[in-house]
Amino acid sequence: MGSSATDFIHKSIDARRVTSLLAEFHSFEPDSREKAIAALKALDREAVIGELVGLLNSRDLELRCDAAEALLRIDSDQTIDLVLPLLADPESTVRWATCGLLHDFGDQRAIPLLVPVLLNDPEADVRLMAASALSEIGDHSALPALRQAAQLDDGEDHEGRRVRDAAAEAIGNISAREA
Amino acid sequence: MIRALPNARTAMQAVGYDLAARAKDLYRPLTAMEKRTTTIGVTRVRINGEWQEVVSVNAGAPSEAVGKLRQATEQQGGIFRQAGGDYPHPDDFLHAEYANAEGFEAIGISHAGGPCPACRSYFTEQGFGDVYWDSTFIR
Repeated sequence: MGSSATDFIHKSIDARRVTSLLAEFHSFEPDSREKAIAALKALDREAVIGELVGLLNSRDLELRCDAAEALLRIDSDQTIDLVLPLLADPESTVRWATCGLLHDFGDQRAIPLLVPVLLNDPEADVRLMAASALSEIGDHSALPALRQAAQLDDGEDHEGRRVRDAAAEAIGNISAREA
Repeated sequence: MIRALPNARTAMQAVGYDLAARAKDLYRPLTAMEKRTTTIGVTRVRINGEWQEVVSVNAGAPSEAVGKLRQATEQQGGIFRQAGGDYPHPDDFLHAEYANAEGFEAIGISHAGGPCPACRSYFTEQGFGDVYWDSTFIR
């Protein structure tokens, strides 16, 4: 068997292993997510990231979200640039979840891509989540967009949380951090 | 980071932290689509001398999420209630239903932003501040 065929089998096994570990993210058993992340981290790093990057283009939106979460949990510093394109995903749920992940695992590299989501996304809850993410990881460069949202965005999420309030809170948090 | 309403009582902090963590633990396994429109509230109440966990979700939560959360709660001996009627959100619902129980301490909710504006107004009116939440999305 040639090396390319061996590589193909090796990668196929990894793909099944990776998707089965991602399924563990949805178990209610205690520590199942932590064990799955530990198992993903124990696999060959380059191979597992390659598999997860492939899943970012899956037709299943939940798999795209799970792959993004896995990449950021494995090593957000190394993988954040791979996840950022999901902020422009055609599915609003993916954009919403990506903003949430960047709230938890993001850094300043995400700011230039979160700002247009805050200003232009058609879904209010996505804009609200972008404001929340900027509240955590934003800096002074996000302030003009946040001020605009705080003045003009009357959108609300399903529970009546307003984008303008989240933007105002983000302005306060960023200003406090940078004071 | 765990947060609480401004008038939370120090004596309730430990249980509040546990309830906030439990709410997030129940939220994390949901799918992204389920997470988007689901908020979970958790409390514990003493009924006939026994403390029991009570889990609630918002009235508008998707049925798939409701089913999963009901199963996860009841498998561990807890009580599951979906919010509704005058109290469509899990935090004001739990307070309205259980604040006068034999034992009632605090509420944990899954939303990173804490109670919504309407629920904050409700808790202010009620003079109740022991509502706790983990301010991360799913970390």
